[in-house]
Amino acid sequence: MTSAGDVTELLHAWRGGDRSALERLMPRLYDTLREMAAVRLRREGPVQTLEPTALVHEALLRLLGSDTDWQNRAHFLAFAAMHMRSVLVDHARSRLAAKRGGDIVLVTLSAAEASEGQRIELDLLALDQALNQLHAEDSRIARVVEMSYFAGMEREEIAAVVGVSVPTVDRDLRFARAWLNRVLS
Amino acid sequence: MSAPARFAMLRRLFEEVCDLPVDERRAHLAKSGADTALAAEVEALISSETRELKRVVAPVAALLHAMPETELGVGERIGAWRLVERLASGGMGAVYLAERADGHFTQQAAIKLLRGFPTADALARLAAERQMLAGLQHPHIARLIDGGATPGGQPYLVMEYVDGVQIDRSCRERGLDLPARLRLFRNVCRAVAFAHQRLIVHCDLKPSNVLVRADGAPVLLDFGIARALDLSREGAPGDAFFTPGYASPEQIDGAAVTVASDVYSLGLILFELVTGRKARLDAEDLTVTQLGRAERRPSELVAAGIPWRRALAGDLDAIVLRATAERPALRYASADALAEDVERFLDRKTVSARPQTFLYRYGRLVRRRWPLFAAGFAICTILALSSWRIVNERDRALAAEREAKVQAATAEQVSEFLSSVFEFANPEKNPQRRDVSAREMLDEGTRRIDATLADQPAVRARLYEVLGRAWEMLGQPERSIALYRQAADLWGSSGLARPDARADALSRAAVVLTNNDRDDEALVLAREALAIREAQVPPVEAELADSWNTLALVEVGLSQFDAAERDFERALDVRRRLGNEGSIAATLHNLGILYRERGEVDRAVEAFDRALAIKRRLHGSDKHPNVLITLENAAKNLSRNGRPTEAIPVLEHILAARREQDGFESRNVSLGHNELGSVLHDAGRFRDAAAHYREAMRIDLALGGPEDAAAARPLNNLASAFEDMGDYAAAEPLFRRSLAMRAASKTPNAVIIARAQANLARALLARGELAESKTLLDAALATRREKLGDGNIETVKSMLQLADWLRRSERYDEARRQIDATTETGAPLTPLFKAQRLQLLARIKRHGGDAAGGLADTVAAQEFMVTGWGERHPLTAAFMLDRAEAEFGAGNVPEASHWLDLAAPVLKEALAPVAPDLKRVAQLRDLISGSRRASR
Repeated sequence: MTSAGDVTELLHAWRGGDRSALERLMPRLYDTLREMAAVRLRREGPVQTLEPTALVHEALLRLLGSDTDWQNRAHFLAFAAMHMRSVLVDHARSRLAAKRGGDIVLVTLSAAEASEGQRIELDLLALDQALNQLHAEDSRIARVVEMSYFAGMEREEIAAVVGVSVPTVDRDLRFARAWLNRVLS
Repeated sequence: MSAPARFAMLRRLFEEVCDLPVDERRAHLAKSGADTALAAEVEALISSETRELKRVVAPVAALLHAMPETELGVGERIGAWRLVERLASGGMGAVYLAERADGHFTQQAAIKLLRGFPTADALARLAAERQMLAGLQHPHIARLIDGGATPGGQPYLVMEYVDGVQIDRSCRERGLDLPARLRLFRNVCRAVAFAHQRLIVHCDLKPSNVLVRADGAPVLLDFGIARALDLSREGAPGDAFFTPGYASPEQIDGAAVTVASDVYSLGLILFELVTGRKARLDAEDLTVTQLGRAERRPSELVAAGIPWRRALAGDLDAIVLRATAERPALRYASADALAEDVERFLDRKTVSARPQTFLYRYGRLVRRRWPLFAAGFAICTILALSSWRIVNERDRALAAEREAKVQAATAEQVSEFLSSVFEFANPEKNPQRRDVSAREMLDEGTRRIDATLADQPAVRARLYEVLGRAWEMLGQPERSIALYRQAADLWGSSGLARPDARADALSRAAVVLTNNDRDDEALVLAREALAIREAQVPPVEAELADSWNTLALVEVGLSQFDAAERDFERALDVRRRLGNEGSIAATLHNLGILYRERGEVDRAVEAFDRALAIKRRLHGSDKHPNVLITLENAAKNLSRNGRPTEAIPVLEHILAARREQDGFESRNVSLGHNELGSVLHDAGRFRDAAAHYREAMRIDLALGGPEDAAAARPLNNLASAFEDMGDYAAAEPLFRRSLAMRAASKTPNAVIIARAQANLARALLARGELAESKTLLDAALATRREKLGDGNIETVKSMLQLADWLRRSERYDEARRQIDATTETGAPLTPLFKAQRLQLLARIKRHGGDAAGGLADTVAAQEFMVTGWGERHPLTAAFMLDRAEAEFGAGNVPEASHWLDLAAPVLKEALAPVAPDLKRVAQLRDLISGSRRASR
């Protein structure tokens, strides 16, 4: 069986209530994302760019193939969002710990910001903490933010994964945006 | 307050006040009972909201941008206009009074805002229509001033605002006498005729769309599409939007809308103006129908207090009856002609409507000269924004061709609009342009129906059907069945009470069900649909034919072949008489399946060929799903009858076309893999077959979950491929799972379960599991005897299986008797079966020491295989191996060597390494070389 088939089946099993499928899926996803991030960082010159959304979608293509069922795609992205966040945070932590200076790694959350050229490891960690705090208050809102920011998921996809209506996702995001803005400012 | 409660309250307050102006926000917060700290936090959140989130702003902004705009309300601006007052609203949109917001000069307008599906396509079409309507400048027609889309993409139209009173009320309030009313009406007719001459049909004429200004001038407008929709459906008593309808019978039937439909509506308006009463007092009022058949006259129906009853008798009666005739061909040919007759009446001239005998002849003239009329008055009803619509060139040609049967069913304007949006995702309609986002769009559409059209049951039902069809064509039967059922429920609800439409939805659901092996459920629906249609007075032949066809399909699924043949023939007779080529082809196709299932190869080939010829002519493409399905079945027929190599390229073509069209994992693609696998299987390419079966299984399981019933088919086939490869250890668990799935089906099918039992029994027997094999064998044989009868090939196969079991249990005499019994059944036998029977017999004879007899039977068996399957087929090779062994046993070493050399490479290529036959090859080779060494 192909690896795409494998991942599909695991996703499927998870959707069908098999918790162990998730445990088997996670390491593969994390490894793939980290490997891709690493390749990206090696390949590109001194100023490096990481676009989480692009990475996540690339991982989707790599692990699931292009003709993926909508539901599987949404669930995959939901996982990927979670992992992308930890990949980025791990990366930022290691950068800060190494304190090498020199080349600057830009972990942007959108391509548009790539040119600003700021160090954002700290910002990223702050966002991570803020999200943890939000998670403690309302785990769903935190998940919704994660899926939207780190995997670029559509509202419909998020709604399907979380099991709420699209307007609820919209409201979650609006509130989260205000709340995060306030906490991070 | 606990921390979680506080957070929840923070969130609730934020949502309550985030869109309020500052003062109101503060007032609300003060009233809410929130403490100062909490109120301050809400305020802080709101001010944070307006700041950009530094690191994560872009995705958020993109997200917010993608959100649909909240509905516009009074006070807001659209373009140069400010909405002043909501005049009307319905499921599909709202109409506002608006005024220019740029302050340069005062101008009022009516703005019609559509809630709906603003695709780029729809917007482009709307723009084209706006241009057309903008050219419609007439003092009695409300002008189209402007139009466009809001920043959120919601389309709108700006129309001239008419300050007036609806025509019937105006006449009453101003106390107009009969001639004044008729002159007013004549002006309305002239305005409609003006539009007709510019190729625009109104399609929704009714008193509320004809206002009379203070100066007494009538103005035509087209508010209220949502109303028009309900009206046209004759529906829903108790529905808030229900008012008596003015739509023509053909509009109500959802068929053709023409100039004649506008004439009809004008006729009803005239009726109301001259009699002073509503044409339809309530839903049960039959007056309109009676008028349509000239069973009652307006002069008999005049309201109390109208002094001119006697003036109506005669000419005016004739004018109204002619305008409102049920048959479009009997009406006035144009609104002008109606206006003219009204004028003649005013001038006391003879009206043309008067002589009843002439009516028929005139109708004939209209019919004969329709192309001329059609050229002059082609159709235009707008998408869904108003009741105007432009017809394309093709429709105009059709209009000319089939008298007045132009394809714009105004009775279902809005649903047609939505359909058109959805239909582009339907590969049947649009095989060339398969949009990858179609599926998401359909998802979104399915979701939105209930929300947007809650008060429009008829449109909802229609849309369920359209979506059901699209999902069906996209290979998603579950969703399709569910939607058809929803449609059937709605049509059958007391609100709509449309048994005909219910029957149609049920019939469609039955077809999808039977196509997915859920024949028992299908039978219930097919029967109900037939019963409804038989009860219709008068019965509609085409619908009955559809029901017979559907029922027969289900009967084929249930192996009730004779009943199926009878019902197909009935359907075919009617369809031939009605001359609908598409449905003739469908029934021929189905007959082909029936013949094939009954083992009548040549009749099947002929039926498929005839169906294909028609379908290719109709669709002009070999990639059309309708052509593909017949190609597939014809290929299956070839393959099952010893011509698999001809079928393989056909099925590869089909699979490629379906992947291209569906663009994702779909049932159609999985079916394609399964079919291609079957044919490769038949061709002896077991490994290739297994790969396709696996792919089919994977897709089915991905689509339907681990218990997916459709997956049982490829699963069973995969097991069977392993069996043919000689890997019984791999086959057995798969056969077991297949049997379990069939038995656990919500709608178990005894014949299919028996097949699964027989398959598992065979694999077990090959592995020497005699006891369990016997239990399954007996169960399958009993079911087959009961359901299929003794003369059926499957029953006979079970009997032979039992004979093999007896042989392996060393009960040789019983085995022989059982073999003999299979010759007495009269069932049509396949070459493989005959060969297997001889092989079994030969083995028994050889065991009894009759080497010569055994060899003779083996030779005969091999011949059947060569004729039926060809020399190079692995199944034939297996018989050659038997032959080689038999020759060796009879002492013919060179013969044995010859057959072994032929069989060995074929078997090695096709079989699994663990296959017992390969061991036999090796053993025989050793024996042969041993005997050669010995003889040397």
